[in-house]
Amino acid sequence: MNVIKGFQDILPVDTEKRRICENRLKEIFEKWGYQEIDTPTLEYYDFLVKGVGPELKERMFKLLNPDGEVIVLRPDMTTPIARIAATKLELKDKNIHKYYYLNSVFRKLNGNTDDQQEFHQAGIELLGLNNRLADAEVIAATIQALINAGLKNFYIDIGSARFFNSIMDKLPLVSEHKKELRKTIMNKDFVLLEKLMLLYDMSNRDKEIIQHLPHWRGGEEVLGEVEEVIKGDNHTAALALQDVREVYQHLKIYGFERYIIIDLGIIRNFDYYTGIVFEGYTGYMGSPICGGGRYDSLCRKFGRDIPSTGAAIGIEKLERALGRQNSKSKESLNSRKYFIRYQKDFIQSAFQVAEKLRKQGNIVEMELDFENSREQNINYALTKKIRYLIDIQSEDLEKIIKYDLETKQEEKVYYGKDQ
Amino acid sequence: MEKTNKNLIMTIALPSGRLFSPIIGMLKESGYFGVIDYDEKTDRRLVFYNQDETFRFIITKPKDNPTYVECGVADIGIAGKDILLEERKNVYELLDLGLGKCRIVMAASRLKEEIEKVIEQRLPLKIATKYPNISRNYCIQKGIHGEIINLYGSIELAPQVGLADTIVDLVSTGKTLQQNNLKIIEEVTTISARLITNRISYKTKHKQVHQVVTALRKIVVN
Repeated sequence: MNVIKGFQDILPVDTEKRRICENRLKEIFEKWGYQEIDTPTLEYYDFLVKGVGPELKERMFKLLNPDGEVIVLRPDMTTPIARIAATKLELKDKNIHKYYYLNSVFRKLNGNTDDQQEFHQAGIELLGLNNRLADAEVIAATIQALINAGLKNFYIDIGSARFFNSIMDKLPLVSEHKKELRKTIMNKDFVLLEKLMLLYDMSNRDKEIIQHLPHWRGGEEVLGEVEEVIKGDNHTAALALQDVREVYQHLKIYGFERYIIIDLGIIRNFDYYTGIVFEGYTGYMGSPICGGGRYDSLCRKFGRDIPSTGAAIGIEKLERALGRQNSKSKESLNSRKYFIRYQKDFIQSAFQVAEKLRKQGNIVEMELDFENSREQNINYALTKKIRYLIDIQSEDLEKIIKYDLETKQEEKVYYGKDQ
Repeated sequence: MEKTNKNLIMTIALPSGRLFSPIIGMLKESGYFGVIDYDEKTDRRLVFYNQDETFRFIITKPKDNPTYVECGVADIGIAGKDILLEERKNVYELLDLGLGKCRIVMAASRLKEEIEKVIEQRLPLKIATKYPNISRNYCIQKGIHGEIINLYGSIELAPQVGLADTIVDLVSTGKTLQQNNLKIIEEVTTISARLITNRISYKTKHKQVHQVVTALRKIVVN
């Protein structure tokens, strides 16, 4: 074992795929007007800890720097970006800031079987606005990015942290019981939940609401059902439902209705969420691929009030979902990749051909070891997904043979001076 | 090779071992899964289907069961609460099946008063167990200065030969404890088999998951 558990070497066969995937996400973020932001890998513990909730605090990698100060590896990107926003940005009254990032974050393992301690996230943050259009835009951009990355058959569940909090606030329970109940609902431990329902002194209506919570899932009609149960005596909850409805309708206009499911049972692990929350997933994966939501009180913890909303996509999870989805399709050879085989005497011609092809935007490798047979060249080409083998057997640039490894066809090509 | 079937509703992971037979019994009794053709005595298949191939069953080691569910290769699984507490996998508990009921206890060969004195004075208490996480949590809860010794089996041996002061282990009848001169100091927690699911199956197959819960709830004996 020469690599720390949960950390990974990534070899070229995977880095290529990763860059393609990342570029497709990035492309959408940029097209929607988000700009890249980067933050240090290491942060002061004392400062960052103001923003991260207890769950993430426990899971941060803590180190001592040479001055004896406690520093941490960033556990997410949202908290450092909130720190920047609150301390560095010129925020006038109506300024909004749109950022995206592609970065690695670090968290101690949580017992999940397939988790990494260092993993990569692509995400966006929209700072400076508190309205449903902003919430919907972040979700829509995330959906568009996933589509662009090639993901099929995925869903985004949207719910509201505010809705859940308002239900919990209204319960006539002591804070210790509330905390226990909250944790139980969050872990979706239905066995314990049933026991707590018997134990705690709550009205039948409250019990009904709590027990319904995880099942309030579906299309727009769910909101009507829930409003019926709440019946106007929880004003905040009613407003939160209205928010969900508004975001849903915006997403419908975007044409993303088929990706959206309303799920009022979503409770995200991070404490900083205050409004709309969402998570995206696909079948055969045990945990979400992406998630996010509104976190209006996070920046305040760093000194300035800035309403914000954001999303993060787990790159490793997305790659796994794409791999699973595309496992049956055969990987084809890359038609922009060439390998040039030549006799030692014709090195100059080979150089000319290579440069010409490279200028046209191709990836060209030249023979570096003249002991290799043609067979060996072909085998090498196949491992690197190279489609064409160029064979130069004379100085005459008109007599070059281009062999297509995909179709196994040969053709004569002309690589001389442009006519 | 993974078989793909259009009718397949979901995959259920069943634990091998002592719970297997009563669970198969429950599945058959519920009537919800139609005909399940699996003879526990002679069958060696690890993957099998019900007759109309709507449910796929896989057989796992009991301790591995939550892993299959957590990763999403099984939609539903069945695991003892001891494993869930120890492994802390990210799975949802749907239903207490009332099977495999037993307790996790702290036991010792020395007198209860002696051990309590050690705990009270915050002296180090050596605990042999195959449940290091459960033991550690118990110690934190009770303020015990515990030193945990992780063993893989025959835990009852440890206090007798002086490897540990106490053990934290599973007890069903108490016979093994008795024959090894161990007495229960305190109950740590009670255990039974739980129906579990993962975060995503709970979403994508919400209705189907709840139909299984409802079907099994009817025949749970409490």
